[in-house]
Amino acid sequence: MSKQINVSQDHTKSPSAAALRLLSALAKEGAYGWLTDHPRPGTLAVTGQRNAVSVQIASAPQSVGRELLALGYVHWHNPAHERARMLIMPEGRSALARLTAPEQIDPFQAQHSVLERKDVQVHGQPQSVLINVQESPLAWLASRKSRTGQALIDPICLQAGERLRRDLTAASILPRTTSNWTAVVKADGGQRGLTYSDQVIAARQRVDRALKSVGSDSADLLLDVCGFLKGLETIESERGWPARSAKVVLALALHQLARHYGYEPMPDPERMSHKIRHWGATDYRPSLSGAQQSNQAPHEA
Amino acid sequence: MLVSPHQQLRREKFLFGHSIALTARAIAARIFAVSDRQITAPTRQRRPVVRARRAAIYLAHVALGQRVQILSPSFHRHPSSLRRACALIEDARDTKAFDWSLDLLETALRAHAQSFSQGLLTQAVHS
Repeated sequence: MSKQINVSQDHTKSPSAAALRLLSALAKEGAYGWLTDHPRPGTLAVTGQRNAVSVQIASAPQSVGRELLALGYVHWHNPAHERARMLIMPEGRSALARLTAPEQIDPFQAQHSVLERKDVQVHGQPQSVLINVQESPLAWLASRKSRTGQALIDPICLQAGERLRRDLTAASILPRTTSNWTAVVKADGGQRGLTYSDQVIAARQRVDRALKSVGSDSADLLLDVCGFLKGLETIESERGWPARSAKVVLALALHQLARHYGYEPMPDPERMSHKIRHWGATDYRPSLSGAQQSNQAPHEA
Repeated sequence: MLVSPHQQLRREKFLFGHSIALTARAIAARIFAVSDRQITAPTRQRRPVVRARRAAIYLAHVALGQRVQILSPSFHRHPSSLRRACALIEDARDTKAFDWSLDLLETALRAHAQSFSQGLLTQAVHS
């Protein structure tokens, strides 16, 4: 049982079905492979986590592991040790994403996205489509569940955030570092560069109104998340917020935004105002039901 | 009889694990239509029984998080046999239908254990 197998990397061959299975097992979080003599000598077992319990999630003959090593997808961590661990390499992860990409998605695009099947309304009909949930940080948050099984962001907030993002994109007010090749250039040389259409101006006004209504503190955060598509960890580190706190602040800001868009009811002005609702005489005692109160009404001055 | 706190803790852990093994065994026996006695039999038994035993072991270890060392007497098996059973069930989970049904079973069992664990623990300790 030699653990160190020195082979040159060979990208021309694609792995066999057994190797792909082993690779997908190794790609799971906290999974590692190790050599064992059970059930037969020279078996490569993969131990992974399920419900925080270590379980053997796959096993394969050693030759399959050797194939992955030859492809440069895995490596032995601490090979001199008696119980060396086989771990997946970043190359292996991207290769797995490429090889398991659905037919309609380009393999190299699939490598950089987290694809999930979602039901989407297309012309009023629900349709199952593949969506890259990593594309927008909000959608990613909405697709994750907290420990209690609740989504980190509720659908209303997601809708509000995505609406702001659409407006921001349409308004084209986000700064860019590269040159803009989308400029409309007329052949006759009358007007050069981008012309502001009414749509752009309308979108700017919508963004303006939304950001003004949520207040400057929330507007800042919403611009970062919906406009610059920053992740929560980035925001926390940039602003020096404590870890995992941005989630709460973002939820508050999104609720404000949803209220602005009318997705959520405004707080009741009756309850907010400090208007005197009733003036009772010295012997007046409030009752629990409204009916009795109206009976008492004539006695009060 | 005088029992040290350490022994007492061990005993309670075992009894709790045993109560969980009993639940997993009962559910697996019901689903795979075999008897609980066949599951705990010292011999291998027929194939459906083996399947039910493996499922019971898997549920007790993975879904309910009991250590195999604690569970092993409840199944009359060596801890390594329990680990092997879990590995085989994990392999079988590559089939989508089996994976989903086991997911459902796990969720149900965990919800059950959560609501009854307190009761089971006190029962097990005082019986």
